[in-house]
Amino acid sequence: MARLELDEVTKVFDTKAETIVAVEELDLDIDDGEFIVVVGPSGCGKSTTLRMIAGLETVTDGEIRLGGERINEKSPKDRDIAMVFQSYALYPHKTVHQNMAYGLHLSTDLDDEEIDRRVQQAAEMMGIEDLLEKKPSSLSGGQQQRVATGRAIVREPSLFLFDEPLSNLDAKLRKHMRTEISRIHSEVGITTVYVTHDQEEAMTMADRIVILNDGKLQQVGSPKQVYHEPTNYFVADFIGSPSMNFLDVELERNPDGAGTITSEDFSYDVSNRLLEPIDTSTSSLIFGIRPEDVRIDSQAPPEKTVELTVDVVEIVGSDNFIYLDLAGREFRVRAGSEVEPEEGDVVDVTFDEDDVHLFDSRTEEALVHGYSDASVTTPVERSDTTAD
Amino acid sequence: MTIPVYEVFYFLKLVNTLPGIIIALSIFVLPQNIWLLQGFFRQGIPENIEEAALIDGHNELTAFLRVVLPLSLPAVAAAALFAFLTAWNNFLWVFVLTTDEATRTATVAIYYILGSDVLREWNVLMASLVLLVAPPVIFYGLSRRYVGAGLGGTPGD
Repeated sequence: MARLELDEVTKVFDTKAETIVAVEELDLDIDDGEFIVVVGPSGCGKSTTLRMIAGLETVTDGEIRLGGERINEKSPKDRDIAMVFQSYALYPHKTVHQNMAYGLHLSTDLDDEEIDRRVQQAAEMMGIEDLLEKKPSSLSGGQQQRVATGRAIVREPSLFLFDEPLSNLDAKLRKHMRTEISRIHSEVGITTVYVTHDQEEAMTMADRIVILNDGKLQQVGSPKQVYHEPTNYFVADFIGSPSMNFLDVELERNPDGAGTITSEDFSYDVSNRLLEPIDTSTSSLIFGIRPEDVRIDSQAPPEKTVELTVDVVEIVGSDNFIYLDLAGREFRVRAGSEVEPEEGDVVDVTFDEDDVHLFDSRTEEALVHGYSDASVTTPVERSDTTAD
Repeated sequence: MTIPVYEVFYFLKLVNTLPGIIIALSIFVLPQNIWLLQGFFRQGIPENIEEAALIDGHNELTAFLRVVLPLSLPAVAAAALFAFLTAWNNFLWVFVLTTDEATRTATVAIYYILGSDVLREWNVLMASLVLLVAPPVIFYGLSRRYVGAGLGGTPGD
């Protein structure tokens, strides 16, 4: 186990045609035993970051330290890491047992008996004891994924790296493996960096989430933090499903400090408590509200209500996703299954001021979040992941 | 083109020697083998397998020798078969570079049997042809299992 530090790590791909900055001055400090999920859209630099940590990609600038020691120049085999690839990368000509034991044979001087014991132990942990003599080609995708994870566990490395390991599995198996990997992490307590493009995977598995876009760090925080207090428009849009509703608005302040946020077809009164942190000269804002914080309520006060037309109603069983039309833009509402308006109905939509997010329209940085979520800014408790 | 090649081999004292024949035929089959194998290495073996080997404890060279090459056995077998057939059937370079019976290959030797038009010994010629055809047939029989997979571009199980 070890602490992983990335210090202004930069990766530039220099081809004849163009220069691509894949990762730009990335600073990260990952505690011993922590489970970090790096998330972002395709091409944001998350896999490149992981490959730099693994030693499969050189670092253009900056420093990577594992357990306090600089590892930039070390070859992958000397870094004491194990990696699970998206394609599993099992050796097709070796049996499951040989696949799992191979790394131990190469990198340790353990005797065959000890290696066998460790392979058995890892196989039991992954529930693949009866597959040990099979070749990877005769296994299903889920079984191959287990073998790949088992191959990583058996090494007992300082650091686990996962590169979108569940992307090739079907939705049900993916959810199952998600909990399996979380369980294994809490059993072995090894520092883990997990890369995914699936924000749901990130929210459910991570101690802390690292969000990247265009090679730049957007936010690092607990799942609750990034959900309730996104630092900018990108994070707010990326985290949460269905994603947050946004609207370009103007802020009109009253003499008492309160105000109204308005746009075409939209007007909503806000108190001075919400507007207090916003500079008085700022008037152009992006207003954001999560679909789950919006209610369809005909009894709500008119100054807190917006009238919208129902476009589509999606029934998913537990909830209904209602898509409304707001001046030609989509406005999403996640409502209970009992709320089922007809398409074309005009409904009154309301939400609490506590759930409103306001962003600067020029910099796209967050200016204020509804104050009911202030509690999430307290330091993250991680004792459960490092206890054993 | 045969004259400059002959001159180079003559200068290097490789005319009428077995190493000379081996070098000449190797050069002749090399482009075909590079073309055949590069396609396989580029597409047949996933890059992640080599990377997994690097993390497991290999360096670039041992990862290639111990992991990539065993997986490439079908392609190597296919390339070896084609190289052997091409070299075995080659007439021109051996004919140009040898005058000695001791260094002559079977293909050229047959030509000399055929070449005597005073009394053509058909029985000797036909018997020689059977012997000429036998090695490729045996070699193909031995490597047949791998060749199909090699040409298909999929790594062996």
